[in-house]
Formats: sequence, structure tokens, C-alpha cells
Amino acid sequence: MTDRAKFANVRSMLEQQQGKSERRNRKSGRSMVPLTRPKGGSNQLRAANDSVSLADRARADIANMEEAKLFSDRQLDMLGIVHPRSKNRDMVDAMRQLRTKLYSLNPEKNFSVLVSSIVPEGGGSFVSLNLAATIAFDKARTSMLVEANLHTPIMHKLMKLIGREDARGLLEYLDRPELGIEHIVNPSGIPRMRCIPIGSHTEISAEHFTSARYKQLMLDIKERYDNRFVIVDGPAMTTSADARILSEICDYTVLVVPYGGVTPGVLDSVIDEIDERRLAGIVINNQPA
Amino acid sequence: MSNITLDEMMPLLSREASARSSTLLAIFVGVSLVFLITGLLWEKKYTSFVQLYVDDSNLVAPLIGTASTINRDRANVAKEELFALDILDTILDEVGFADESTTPSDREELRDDLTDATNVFNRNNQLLEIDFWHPDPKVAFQTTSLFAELFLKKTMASSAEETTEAFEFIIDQVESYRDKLEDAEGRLESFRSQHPGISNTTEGNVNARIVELQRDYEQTGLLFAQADQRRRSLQNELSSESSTLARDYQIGQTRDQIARLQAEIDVLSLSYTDDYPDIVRLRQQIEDVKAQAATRSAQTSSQGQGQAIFNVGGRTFTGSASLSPVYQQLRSDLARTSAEADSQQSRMRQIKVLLENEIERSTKTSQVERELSELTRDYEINKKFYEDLLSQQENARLSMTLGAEQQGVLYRVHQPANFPARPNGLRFIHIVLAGLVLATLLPFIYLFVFLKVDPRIRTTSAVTDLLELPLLTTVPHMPSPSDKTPLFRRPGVIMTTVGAMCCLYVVVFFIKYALEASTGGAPL
Repeated sequence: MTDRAKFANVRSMLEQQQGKSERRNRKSGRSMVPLTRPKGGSNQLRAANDSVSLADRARADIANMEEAKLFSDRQLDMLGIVHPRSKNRDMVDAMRQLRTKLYSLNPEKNFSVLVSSIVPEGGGSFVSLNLAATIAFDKARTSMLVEANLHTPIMHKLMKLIGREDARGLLEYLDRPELGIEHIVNPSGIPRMRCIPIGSHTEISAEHFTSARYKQLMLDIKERYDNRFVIVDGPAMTTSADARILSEICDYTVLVVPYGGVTPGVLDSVIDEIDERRLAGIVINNQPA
Repeated sequence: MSNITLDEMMPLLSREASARSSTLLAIFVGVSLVFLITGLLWEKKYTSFVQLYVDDSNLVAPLIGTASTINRDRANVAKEELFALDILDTILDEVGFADESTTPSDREELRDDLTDATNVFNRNNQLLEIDFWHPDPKVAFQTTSLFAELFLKKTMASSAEETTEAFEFIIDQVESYRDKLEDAEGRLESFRSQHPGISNTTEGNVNARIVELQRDYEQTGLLFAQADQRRRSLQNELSSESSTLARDYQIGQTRDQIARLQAEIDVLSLSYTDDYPDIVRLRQQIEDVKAQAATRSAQTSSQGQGQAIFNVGGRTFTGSASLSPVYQQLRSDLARTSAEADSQQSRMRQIKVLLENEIERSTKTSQVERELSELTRDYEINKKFYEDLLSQQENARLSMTLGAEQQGVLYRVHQPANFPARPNGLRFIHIVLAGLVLATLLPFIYLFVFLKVDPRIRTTSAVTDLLELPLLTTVPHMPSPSDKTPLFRRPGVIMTTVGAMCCLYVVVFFIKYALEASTGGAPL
């Protein structure tokens, strides 16, 4: 086979792959989140050097973060939260894999991601909490868990365990303009992880999340630190319209499918209702060992 | 149906088995117990059977003189006879299924049980088998023997009865046909005495005679027509021939006379002159002859060609003319031909009379012969039947004798009832083994079917291949340290339960074996 023929084969293979990808996109009618790649070799090196220095500085800043009471490993195990020393390596690996794939969507920038289950009790809060904890494994990054799940809030338990029963939350912030972000950002008991609990509320309304104040809040907490990743714990997609509204404000959406709990038809219909460009992917949760 | 690929199936089965271990364990225990209890309650079947040889040379068929027509289902026929009330009741009483205290309704139920446990079927064309099963081999043996004995007894009785009836029937028939034959014979004889000479061939003879007479009549008619035609032509010829012959004869006579006179003149002229008186006289005579001839000729012409003188048709002729030989010959022919024609005509009339007589006779004969043939036929048929029946009467007598000596029965015992030493059909060991196998397999079958039928998402391929969505990760189940595994999902408990169930099987098996051995029963 000649060199020209080899080039032709390689070209045709590339074209085939490209054509297959286009066909698949046309067939599904979906365009997933595109991966952003760093541009230019020399720029890459410079950016890498810059990021190393930034990371060092960030680590120094983050090390100075005021931490309240921290959970012990045993407590984290009891709470079902992963930590770097967890004996459940499968769980740690799965969460790291999720984190890495989300990083790969936009390696240069922090992001906000909505984690929402398809059905109630599907494990959306579990995955979002553990994703935030896993991001916080890295000493150069912090995570912020925003609890936007009005139906099954869990953060109040954590707050109680770390002695913050009276912590204000998201709904109070949205209801009361005099409150600032600093009033609702709380330590989580996990190093480098902050949280905004849902807070106490008198009514459950989706209008909270369509308000400009909420949008501004999301923007502020994401933009304030470029090494902070915002994880929003949303309600189940099939029971609440909030999840769809929240997904429009976040950069990405992660859908949690409970193992053996959702049919492909239900998942398909949920995906049809959200902005598919923001769909990062699917997480199958609670697979038996 | 979920689209689970083959490489995903085994891990999936493993995961689901561990997740649903309590359900699977429940199925295992349930199926095991059901089979164990079924095995314990299962009654062993001891089947005893008897084979009867079916004798095709039965008694009735030869008596009737027909081929054996007993090709019907012998098993059904035998079943009808076996399940008659008298046989069933005898068995119930003799084997001990029922006693005097048994109520009629219980007895009815026992009869049903007896018939349900009995099976009658054709082993092959010649063998009939009666099977009976019972949990007790002795009862099975007794019942089967009794069934065979009662059946044979009943069959023999019915066969003898059948033979006697057939014999009596044949005797009646023989007498009846004898009377009929005598009657037919008498009628035939009386008819023959009334119509002597009539035989079966008479009509044929008459017909042949009529044909012959018709042929004679036609031939005679032809001969008559021929003779008549010849007579007419001879008459015509004779009439014309007679007239010509008379005139020629007169002219010839006149010429001869003139020639003779001229010759005399010529002789005299040699010696004398013409005025010699003899010559003058001769000349005068010649003139006279000529004048006479002329006169006669004129007379003949005026009288119609001399018919009045030489009338051939009339029998008289006048004048001086004499008959010519031709005329005489014709006349002779005419006379003969006329006689012949008249004779033929007369024969025709006679034949016609004969023909009419024969035709009339033929009409009468066909009626008589029809009657005769009817009588003859009746006679022949009666005679044939009578002769057949006479020979069958002898066969019937022989069969009666054989029947009385019980030599010609329809059924004979080919293989007597056996005492069943081993139970047949399903036994405890089969059920126990089947229970263990099914109890092991059914949980996995349930799991497999469930996974195939349930469409819910369990595998990565369902997300990536079916829906073509990116899968970020699969998060395993994370048990909390405070979570307690349910009792029946603990491996130890599961293993213990399975082991206990197997032990239970072994214990029950040995207990049952020991019990059977102590009672001297058959293997499990």
C-alpha cells in the first residue's frame, strides 16, 4: 500500500468517524456539551505555568479558609460522604470519574452544575453532596453545594451536626434582600467545601429560582473564586418544574438515574424537556455490588 | 424487553442475585418445601396387568357364514363389559373396598375410583391388556386377577348365549326356507302341467321359426315376382311370334304351289308350245293360286294380322295354317312359367299364414315363459339358501358343542395377572431430585426472565447504546456503617438456609427409607 493510499485511508476513516458523529447527532437531535480544548502549544505551556503558580497561591488562600467543626472520617462514613481515606474505593473512584469528566467539559474554567435525579429518592442529593466533597479533595479547588431541593432537603442534618442549626439558607436570602451572600454561605464540615442550605421557608414556589436575585447569586458565587465549583442539588425532574428552571441557570446538568428505577422512555421524555446543550451526562446511581 | 448484551448479563445476574437474595432464597425454600411435601404425600403406584388373547375364530361369524367383522375397538367393548355394575360390585366386595356398611353413595364413589384406576387397551391386534394400579401391590394384584376372571366368565356366558341364539335362529331359518322351497317347487310343477312343452328354450325356438318363415316369405316373393315377370314377357313374345308364323306359312305354301306349277310348265315347255292345253291350264292354275293368295292376304290384313285365325292367347286357331315349332316351344314355356308363378304365389300365401300364426304364438309364449322364469328363480334362490343353511346348521351344532366344552371362547388368558414388586411412575426419589433441581434453577430463571422483561435502566448500554447519551459514571451502592443487612440477605444466613434445606431433604429421605425397609416395601 502506498503512502498516498495510507493517507487516503486515514482521511476516509476520519471522515467516516466525523460523518458517523454528525449522523448520530442528527438522529438524536441533541448536541451535548462540547469539550473545550486549550489552544496553541506554547500558550498551553505558559498557561500551565501560570496555572501552577495560581494553584499554589490558591492553595495558600484556601489553606487560610476559616473552617468550622470538621467531620471525622467515621462521621463521613456514617453520613455516606466520600473522603480521600474512604475504604469504599469503588465509590471514591466513581465520584472521581464523575468529577474528572465534568472537569474535562471545560478544563480552563470553573463551572456550576445542577445535579438532579429523574425520580424522587433517586439519589440526586447523594450524588451532588459527594460530588462537592470529591471536588474538595483537591487542595487547589473548593466546592460550593447549593441546596435547591425544596422537597427533600438534607443539609439541615449536616448543619445540625456541625452546630449550625440556625444557619440561614437560600430561601431566606431570596426572600430578604437585606441579607448578603456571606450570611448564607456556611461551612459544611468538610474541608474546602461550603454549602448554602435551603433554609426555612413558608411556601414552596418555583418563582424563587426565576428571580434575578437568584441568578445574581449564582453568578456571584461562581465568579467570586475561579477555583470554586458550584454544585446545585435540584429536585427530581419528574415531580418538580424547579429542576428545569435551575438547569437553565447552571452551566451543566447531570441527571441521576437510580439503578433499575427508570425506564428509557421516562429518561427520554425528561431529556426532551431540558436544554440538551447543558446536559453533561447521566449518572447511574446505587448499582448493587 | 430490556436490551441487555451478553457480556453484561452475567455481572447483571450476579448483582441482581445479591440484591434480591432474600427473594431468591424464598423461592428456593418454597419450591424445596413444596416438592418435599409432595414427595411425602405422593402415593406409590403399583400397577398389575393381565393380558388376554383375543380369539378371532369366534363362534358367531362362522354361523352366520360371513367374514369376521369384529374390527371395532375391542378395548372399548371390553371396557363396557368390565365396568358393568355387577363386575364392579363383585370386585368391591371381594377385594374389600366395600362392605355391608358402605352407603350407596360411597359405593358409587368407590366404583368411580375403581374405573379411574383401571385402564383397558389393545396391546396389539390380538392382545387386550387390563391394567389396574393401587398403592398396595396386593390389592392391585387381586383386583386385576378378579377383573380378568370375571371378564372371562362373563364373556364365555355371553358367547354361549350368543351361540345358542344363533343356532336357534338358523334352525328357524332352515325350516322357513324349507317351506318356501316346497311351495316354490309345487307352483313350478303345477305350471308345467298347465303348459306342456313350454320350456325355457321355447321362446327362442319360436323366434327362430319366425325369422325362418320371414326369410322364406321374402325368397318366395322374389321367386314369384321373377316367374310372373317371365310369364308376362313370354306372353308378349308368343303373341307376336304366332302372327308372323301364320302369314309366312301361307306365303311359303303359295310359293311352293306356284313353283311346283311353274316347274311343270317348264317341263312341258320343253316339249310343247305355250298354247299347249296343259301349259295353258297350268298357267291358269298359277293365276288362281296367286289370286287366292292375294285374296287370303287381303283377308288376313283386314282381320287384324290374322289374330282371329291364329289366336295364340286363345286356345283355338282356324284357317289352314299349322303351328310353328317356335310357337309351340314358347307356348310350352309359358305354360310352365305360369304354373310356377301360381305355385309361388300359393306358397307365399301359406307362408304368410304360418308367419302370422307363429307371431301370435310368440306373444303368448313370452308371457308364459316370464311366469315360468319367475317361478324357477324363486325355486333356485330358495334352494340355494336352504342348502347354505343346512351346511351352517352343521357348523352351529359343532360350535354349540365346542361352546359347551369351553373350547371356543373369544378371550383366553395370555399372561396372567402379575404381582407388582416395584412401583411404577413417579416415586419419592424422583420428586425429591426434581425438587432440588427446580429449587436451584427456578430462582435464576425468575431472575433471568425478570431482567429480560423489565425495561428499567440497569446497564451502561441502555444509556449509551439505546438512548445514545453520555454516561458519566456508575455509582455503586454505598452501605452506611450503621445500616444492617437484612437477615436473609446475609451470605451466612443464606448458606445456612440452603444447607438446612438440603439436610432436611437428606433426613426425610433416610427416615422414609428406614420406614420402607422396616415394612419391607419397595425402594423409594
